Amino acid sequence: MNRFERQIALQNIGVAGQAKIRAARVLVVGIGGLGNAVLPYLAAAGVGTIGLVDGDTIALNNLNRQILFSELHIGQKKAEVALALLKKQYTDIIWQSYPVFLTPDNIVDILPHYDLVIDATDNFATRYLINDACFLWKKPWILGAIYRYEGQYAIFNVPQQKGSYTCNYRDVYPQMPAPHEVPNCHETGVIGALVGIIGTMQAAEAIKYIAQIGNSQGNQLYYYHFLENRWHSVGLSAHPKASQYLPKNIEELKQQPYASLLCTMNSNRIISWQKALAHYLALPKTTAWIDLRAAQEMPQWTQTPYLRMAISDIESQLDMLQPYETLLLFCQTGIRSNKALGMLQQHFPDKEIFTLQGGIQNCILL
Amino acid sequence: MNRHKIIAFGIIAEKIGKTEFYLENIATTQALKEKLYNQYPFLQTLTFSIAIDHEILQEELTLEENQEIALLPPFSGG
Repeated sequence: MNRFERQIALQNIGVAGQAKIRAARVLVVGIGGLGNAVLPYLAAAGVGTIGLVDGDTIALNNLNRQILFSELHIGQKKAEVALALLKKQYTDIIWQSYPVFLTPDNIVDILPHYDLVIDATDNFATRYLINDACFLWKKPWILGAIYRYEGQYAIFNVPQQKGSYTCNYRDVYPQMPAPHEVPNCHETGVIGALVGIIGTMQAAEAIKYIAQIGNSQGNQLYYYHFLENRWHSVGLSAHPKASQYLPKNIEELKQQPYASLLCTMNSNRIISWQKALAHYLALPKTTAWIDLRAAQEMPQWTQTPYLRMAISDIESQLDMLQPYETLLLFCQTGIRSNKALGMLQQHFPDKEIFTLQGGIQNCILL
Repeated sequence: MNRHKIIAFGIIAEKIGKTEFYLENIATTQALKEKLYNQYPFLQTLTFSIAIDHEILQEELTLEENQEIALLPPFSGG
């Protein structure tokens, strides 16, 4: 008996199609709700090489949709946990885990090893980075994204005859939306089954593209409305301004402003200043505010008591944080607090740890 | 009199409070945008694309009767 005989039996796949699936190298960026739906179906179908990229850690509130993970995994890296679980289940696949966030620097080393990219991210910065890098390296990629009860997906940059490519994301939206213009799942809420539908559609498009079956040829964007049970497709064409925003080479890619990237990492660990203050007022004894700046940095935080702790001192001062259940980290712009968040999550997997949105420069409570 | 069905997606549907509505006597896509910006000023600062009868709009057109117009914002979550 062959593990794949039921799909080899399909008229369009056959032994030749299965060989194409086996030879394929697919990179999945983001192991949230979408990634959790995409990965098992790619693996079960026998995709030969699968890469997993995500620098985020597993939180309790991920578990309504990130179905590979359980309470045992809280605080651990998504890419490492998913790798361990899937490797055990599918021993014949070459697995590669990248427990980091994708950046213009590291994408240069990762992307060339893959034939197809699945965008299962939750932010525009990474999505535009994937789009632009795939454009430069001439690789197709599959979008998946969610807004409340709606989802969208598409395959972009598919090679055509005569050396041309189908539309890319910048043909639909030439420029990156402003930060916070479109809220994401941690702000709006999300139901697991919808992410599962869109993630499974991404896996289906991937398999169709790899095995070269069906009508997965790009230039189409699909919308699905969960409550209204409605699909809507849109035919795409080249945007006259798209090319002016695409990088011309790797140097230009590295200079593009995907910078908000740094601040939107660990996105489900970002809390607004108002929400943080409300949380503190409700639970003042078990909530600690932590200022990661030097004493002379302005403005000062005056609304609540706080602890001051430089990033370099965190490891030696962990005892001070032991009594608290919630840690609210802030700095000037959110970069240091994001870094501290990663460190503290390793030490305190059971604590609720947040970074204050945009740093104190973005605080309207002062 | 020409009449067009407008279908709104994502944050646009949420902000205007409905997924479908109708606009009448709109001759061109430029007039359509003016009317939408006027009626829903938040659209002026929001990223979105427009599709006419399931085809994305990339240059201004004259609208024909009973065309279906979709307002398509990007989604972020995953």
